[in-house]
Amino acid sequence: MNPDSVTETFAAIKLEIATRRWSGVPFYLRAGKRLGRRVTEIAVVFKRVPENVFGLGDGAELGQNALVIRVQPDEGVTLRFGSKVPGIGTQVRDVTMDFGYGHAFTEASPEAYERLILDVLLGDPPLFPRHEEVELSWKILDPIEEFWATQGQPEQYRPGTWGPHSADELMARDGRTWRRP
Amino acid sequence: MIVDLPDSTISRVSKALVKIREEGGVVALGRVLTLIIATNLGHEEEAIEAANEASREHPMRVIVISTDDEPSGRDEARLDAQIRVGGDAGASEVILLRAYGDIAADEEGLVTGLLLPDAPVVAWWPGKAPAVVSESPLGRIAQRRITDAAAQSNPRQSIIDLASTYEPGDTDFAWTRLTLWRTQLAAALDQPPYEPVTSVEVSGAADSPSTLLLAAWLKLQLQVPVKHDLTTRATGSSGIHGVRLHRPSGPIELERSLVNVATLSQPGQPTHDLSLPRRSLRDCLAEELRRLDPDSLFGNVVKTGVKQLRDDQESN
Repeated sequence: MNPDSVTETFAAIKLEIATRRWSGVPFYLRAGKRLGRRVTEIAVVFKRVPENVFGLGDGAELGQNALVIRVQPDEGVTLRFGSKVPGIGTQVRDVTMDFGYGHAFTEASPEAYERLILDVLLGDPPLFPRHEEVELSWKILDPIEEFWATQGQPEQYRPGTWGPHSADELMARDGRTWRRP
Repeated sequence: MIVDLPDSTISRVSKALVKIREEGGVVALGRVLTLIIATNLGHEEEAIEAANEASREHPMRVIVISTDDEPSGRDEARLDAQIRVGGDAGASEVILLRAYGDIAADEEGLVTGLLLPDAPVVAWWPGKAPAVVSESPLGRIAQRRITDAAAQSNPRQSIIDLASTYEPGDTDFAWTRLTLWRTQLAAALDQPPYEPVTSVEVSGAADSPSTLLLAAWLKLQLQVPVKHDLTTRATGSSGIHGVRLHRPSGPIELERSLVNVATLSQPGQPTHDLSLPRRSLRDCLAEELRRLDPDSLFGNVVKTGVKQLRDDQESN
């Protein structure tokens, strides 16, 4: 990497939707280059149960249930929830219920760009954003970019990790942590 | 099935894992944790074997990072990977990473791309452990950190050092090896007469960190004078030799004179022969993986018990 570069390679953002339906539901997005793994996922992380019904010992904590939609690679859906470990003790361990798209059809789905190029050739537009959408996206992001440009060099992170320290702080402010994809 | 990936990269390894999963069906489903084993070149197999057997109880992904224990500094950066699944890996999948040169220094970068999504991470140092495990690159990403004081160059000192470096989540096999002893002692005190223990004697091999921990545990729980003898008795048995709990009506003695059998003698009762073998690596690992929350009793024993025991000895 060029040591003088001020180009950002990582971004993390918290969004909220100002409607009654989505109030209290934060959306955390993050994207970056040279992170731990190449992966695209949407995860719905459910709230913890308010009370510890199982009376687990000190330090023991129930995990958070999650519904993970794996967009790429290894397309599929995973539901993650706590389950009692067999035996006399009361211990709860997180287990997964897995749907693998590739397994259900024993036929690999085409790579993302294969579909796009085919659609270009066919002149089929639904997979491409319209110019209004692109314009609007930049209208939202341009002020952020302009602000960042005044801040000098962005914070560094080591390749192969899940981003800079400040991204963890963003989550820590809300008492959360990023899940490991 | 063993897949060799000589001179490879982490992204190639993770692609190979997905491919094996596609071809072999259910291989990668239902893993509950990632176990990282940090070891040295040539010492991998014993740890892998223990992990494979423990995986029957805890299906997991095992990542073994094997580095040169005396890096010469001239080695070319190179990563040799091997993936073992199915018959060669018990109920787990084993990813063996042999790292040479510069690449070996970045342990965190090596494993990050291979950790299971969401699942807890346990790090295990079967050999030499870093000075402060919770601050080491692997220790920081792990929820539980398992070391083995008996494998350090000075086992007793490493237990004493643990007192200052302990962080919740740390654990040591020297403690896990005690579980059977603690069970027997607690059971012996559960029977009448319910008299208080007045003093305790613990004896064991000089190189056994478990003896120290057992003495510290008894000190912490009973708050009575604890004498602990370190012997190099030529009985051939290593580890703990015996415990004597003094009570007004007579002592309770739990003595291991044979390799796997201990004798329990109590006043007014016939002597019992109990099976008390030295615990295997597999048993210790499986037990530690059963609980993924911090072992707070172990924390109290190393932080408070060991100190109280040493203060006692100094004042005598």
